[in-house]
Amino acid sequence: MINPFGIKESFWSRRKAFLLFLPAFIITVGILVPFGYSVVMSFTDFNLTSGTSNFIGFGNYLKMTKDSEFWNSLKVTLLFTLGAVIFEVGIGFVAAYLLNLGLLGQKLWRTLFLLPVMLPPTVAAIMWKLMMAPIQGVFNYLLQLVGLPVSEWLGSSSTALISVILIDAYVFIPFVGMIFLAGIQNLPKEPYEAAAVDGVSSWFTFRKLTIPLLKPVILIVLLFRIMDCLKHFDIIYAATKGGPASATMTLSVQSYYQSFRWTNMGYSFAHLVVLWAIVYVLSYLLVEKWKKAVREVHGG
Amino acid sequence: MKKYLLLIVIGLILLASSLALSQEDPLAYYKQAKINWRAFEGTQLTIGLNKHPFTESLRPLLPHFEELTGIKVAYVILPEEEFFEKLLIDLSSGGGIFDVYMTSPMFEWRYQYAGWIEDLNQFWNNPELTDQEWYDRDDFYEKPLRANMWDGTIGGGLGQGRWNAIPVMAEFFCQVYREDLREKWGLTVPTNYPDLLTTLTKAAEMGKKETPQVYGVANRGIKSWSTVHSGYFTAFSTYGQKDINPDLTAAINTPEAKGITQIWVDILQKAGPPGWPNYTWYDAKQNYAAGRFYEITDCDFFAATYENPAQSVVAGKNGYALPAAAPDGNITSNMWTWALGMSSFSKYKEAAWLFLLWATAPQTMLDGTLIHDNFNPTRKSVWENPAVIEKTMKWGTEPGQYRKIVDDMYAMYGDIRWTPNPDVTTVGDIWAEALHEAYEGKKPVEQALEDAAAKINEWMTKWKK
Repeated sequence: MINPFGIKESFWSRRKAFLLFLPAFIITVGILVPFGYSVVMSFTDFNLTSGTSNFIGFGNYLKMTKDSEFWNSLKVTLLFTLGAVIFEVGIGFVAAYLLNLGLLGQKLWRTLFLLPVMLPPTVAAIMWKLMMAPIQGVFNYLLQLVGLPVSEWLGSSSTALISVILIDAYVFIPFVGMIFLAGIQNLPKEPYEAAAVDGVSSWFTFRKLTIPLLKPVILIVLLFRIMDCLKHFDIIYAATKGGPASATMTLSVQSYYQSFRWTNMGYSFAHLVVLWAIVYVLSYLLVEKWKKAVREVHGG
Repeated sequence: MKKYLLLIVIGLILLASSLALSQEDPLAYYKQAKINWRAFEGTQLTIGLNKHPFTESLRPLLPHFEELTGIKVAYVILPEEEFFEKLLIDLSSGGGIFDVYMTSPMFEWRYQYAGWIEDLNQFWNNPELTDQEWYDRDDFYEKPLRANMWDGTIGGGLGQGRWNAIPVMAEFFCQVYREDLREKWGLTVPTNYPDLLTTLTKAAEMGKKETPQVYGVANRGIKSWSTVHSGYFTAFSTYGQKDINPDLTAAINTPEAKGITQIWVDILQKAGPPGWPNYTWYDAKQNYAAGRFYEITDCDFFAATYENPAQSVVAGKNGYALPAAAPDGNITSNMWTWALGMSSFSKYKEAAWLFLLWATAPQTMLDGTLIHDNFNPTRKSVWENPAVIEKTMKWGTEPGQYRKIVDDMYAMYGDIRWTPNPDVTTVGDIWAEALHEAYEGKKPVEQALEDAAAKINEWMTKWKK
């Protein structure tokens, strides 16, 4: 018998499992080889300018422990992640709730709400950079118009981090909101009907029904956004290049400086390996929590 | 009557024909050279260009080169920071995307050390490829030409050894100010840095009363070596200071260095643009041209934009002055020169050389300057061309004011102030961060410079023999 590929069945049967596994294998190798290479290079003094590539053991990692710039980058990365995630999850949830109320022109609102997520993050950053420009930007113009004090936005250490968080929120709130909306629309009706019969308040229903039932969705959103924010590069680099001073210098941006501005590749790889470890640990913890939440909601 | 009419028509036809024949062939100048321009017909070159007035002056002329040589030219244009980073990725990976690229001495020191930029001497000395007499290399101003030569000595060796790139424009750093506002506000042109601080602070105060508000001084401020490079390094070197000592240790933390840095930071805090740490040179130039600043302490050649009524609301209202002097009367300016270099990974090096010859030939530079505003040209014959003189003579509060500054810069005040070493842009990045810290009040100037010096010392260790 001949299979659709024109190969004899006996031959096909023996190799079917291997052929089905092959694409996943190629992709896995394609991911692991560069990753492995990066880990190996993090143990060297690889420098593109001087042409060195000597094995130095944990030299880069030891250097990082004494490097104030590394610790600052770690702090900024965590602050950025915390700020962006709180902002995006909070507003995304509220937006999803509002979009689920069946307001007038709901389809239009949903379309408008989705627009920012269609923009490349770098384009969004440049767009916001122009709007935030202290002299000619529209934000300060509007603030002046209503008699409020103007801001230096991306041009000051005290406001730069919150400004890049705002840009990130603008781009990713729709993504978060849509996941929440899907979660809200899939909530079972029966518990709510029972709550209505018992005459409990909306607030009580929200706390005791909606949040627990949405816990798996919330954890999935947290997983996506925390992973993404920890690795974040494009918006920050396009908006501030890690400045002013080192106010927005995340680990990714610091790594970029070390490699593509200063050609210090070994040290840059060490930064990225540390970043990967942080992302991996946090992701693992969140996935475990998500599994537990799914079991609580659906049983099993 | 008919006969006369016929004669007139025939006369007009003959006149038109003769006029058409006498129309100068735009390629005639290049055809005089003893160069086989068609030797690499059918080749395609890719040029890496920074978003810059020089680029805008070159693009309209490229069809001439294609017609002359039969070589196709593709190009990539990126904003400055992104351009250098993209170029670094291409060169370090050996990708060879770019055959020719815009560069500058500070970058060439790294590229040369890493083996990413071709020595042009080999092509220059090849009679098959070069007509030295026609090209006239001596026509270049010495400073930008020698700035693109380096013998590889870390800490010195500038102007000797390899020829890395051909300069296409040079820029210096001077004071450009609004003469109309100076008169209105009763200000004087500062001749020393304490006066500059006082004047700009007063200008910033006066500017608050204007609608829209006029700010004191525009100057670039992004987290990059380029922030150090312009007005600040000009002040710094005027005070006799250097970036690196002969023993390759940082020299930015001397008492004098701290003193002038404090003045500079005071100027920025009291009169600089709001949000200075995120200010690019593009921002500084455009906002000055839009009438939002009293003064700008950045590139002199921005004058071509300021004096162009199509691009500027301050055309005809500007004064030009040398940078302020140190207490001992010393004046210096840093110099930046954009140049065209050849990638070591180019597969079409001879064709790329023909492009370099054409792009930097006297006629190309004259067309680029006269028609498309490439300032400041690096060839004497172009700068001294009567049409260029006529065009630039009007810039300033008195005839020839701008021209005199450029002449003085070439003759006396301007030069590369950075110490040659492959990590000079890294040194600049670290230094710029110190300026940010001082400006933001995160650290006193003294501490910021000491910390930056320590980082620079760590970075420079590998270059010490």
